[in-house]
Amino acid sequence: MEHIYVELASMDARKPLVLASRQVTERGLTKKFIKSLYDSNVVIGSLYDEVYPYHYACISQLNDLVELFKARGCDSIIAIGGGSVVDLAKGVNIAVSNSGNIMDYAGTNTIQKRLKPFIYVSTGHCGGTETSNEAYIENRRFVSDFLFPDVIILDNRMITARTRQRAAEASMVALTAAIESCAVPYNNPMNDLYANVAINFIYENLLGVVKKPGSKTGNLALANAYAMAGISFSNIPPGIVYSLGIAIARDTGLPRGQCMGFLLPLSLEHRVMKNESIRGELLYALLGTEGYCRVPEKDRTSTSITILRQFVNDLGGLLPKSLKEMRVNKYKFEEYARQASEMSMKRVTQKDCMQLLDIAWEGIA
Amino acid sequence: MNIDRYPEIPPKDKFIKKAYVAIMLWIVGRAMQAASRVDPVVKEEFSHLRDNFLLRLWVAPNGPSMFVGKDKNGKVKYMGWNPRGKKTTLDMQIKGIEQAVLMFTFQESTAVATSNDRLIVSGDLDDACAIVRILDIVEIFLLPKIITKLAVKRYPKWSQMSPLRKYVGRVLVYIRAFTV
Repeated sequence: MEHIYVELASMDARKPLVLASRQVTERGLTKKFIKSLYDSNVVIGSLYDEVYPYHYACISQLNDLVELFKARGCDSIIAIGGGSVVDLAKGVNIAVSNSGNIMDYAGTNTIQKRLKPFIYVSTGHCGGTETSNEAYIENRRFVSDFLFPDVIILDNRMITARTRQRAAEASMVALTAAIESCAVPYNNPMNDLYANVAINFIYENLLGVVKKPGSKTGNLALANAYAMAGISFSNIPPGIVYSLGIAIARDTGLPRGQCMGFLLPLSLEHRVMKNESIRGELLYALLGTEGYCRVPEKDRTSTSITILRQFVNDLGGLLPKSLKEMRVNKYKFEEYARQASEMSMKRVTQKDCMQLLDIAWEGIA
Repeated sequence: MNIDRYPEIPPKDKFIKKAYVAIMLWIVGRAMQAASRVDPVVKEEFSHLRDNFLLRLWVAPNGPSMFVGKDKNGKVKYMGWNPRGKKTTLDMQIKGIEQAVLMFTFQESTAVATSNDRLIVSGDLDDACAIVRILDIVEIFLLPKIITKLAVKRYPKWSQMSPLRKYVGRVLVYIRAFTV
């Protein structure tokens, strides 16, 4: 974190607006952050630590922050935490860097110019969009390459233990993002590299963190995985699980991770049922070189699905087993399918979504 | 929204850490001057540097600094901390006081600090490498083996630096650094 002032100086900024949630302050993380800027030229324009962490970013709070940003003469934004804190920071950045109503910039690639410097300090939370090029404000989706954070800070001091539930949910969002980002035929090796490392880090560290939530190494590895999954996911349209997860979470208020977690192995099985291929690299990401080479080529798809299924099962009661258990209304499936298909820019069809939702209703046996 | 609830937070100073680093820089600067007269290897390293060579080793953005360079007679000299009127040929900047403390409390060697992106060098890379080698030798003279091992990349074996050279050099460097 001590490098932040150097990074800000390189972007010609020295007065950031800092956003955090109340929980972040209660855990003493904002204090650590402020201390890291001692003896530098950076004056914190304002520290706003009242963002609701697991809520969506709302427009009234955003307007207040725009006012605060302008009143204090800030020139950059730093977000500490994840989820709505980062969404809000991105929203403020859009509003202060552009003229007009922020909602005019909702949608894909509507932002046409570079935004103010934006730094994201991870605390190990993952809502899926922190390191990506998208943000959700008032449930509207904003997508632009200008929304990528300029700097992502992963510092051991800031990555603290979470509950088992939160760790599992965050990891499921990142795992979904990583798996779906390398499941398109027109992928590039750079993207695969990010996604594979993210999958591997989550597979190797999540169960350890669930058993021992205070594990420093495990939590840092997961934070790395979340960052890489977000980056890799930005290069392709969302897949079926991610889009459906967002649609269900948006409507029901359930955490995204819960919705995506149990849909993920089901979607892979669904693809196999439809005779669609699953790339062998998934097994490579899960097991590494030796494990990958040990499995015959024809068995690689089924082995990766078995491993993933086992992995989700090992999380025990942390994830729901079916949509029925989650008390999702069946009559809304069509609406979810429509939203998911729209969000994925027709990468997935409504028919596929409906089939997957029907399977997920009964869920994992 | 009441804006006054969210005031500006100016950065505080870290006086103790700054003072510690300033003292260490003074000692290292003086020791470099002394070593250049006592140790043949350090002398040799300095002889390859240009005549108007002037090193500035400092802590950004406004931390302590030290100047070591060659005077008109070609002798290596510690030239204080004040940058006024000095034209540096090699500028070695430690990015922050925390990074400097890590280096000067020997929790990180110069090589590890460089790999962790804690140093910015402006000037010839050859000169910078020479200075890092000189700093390693100076640390060997100044500190006991148990600490120096943490601060240098490789502690020299007996065949590379004889005990006679090491201990005689250590005594002479200390005498010259704190007296002459």
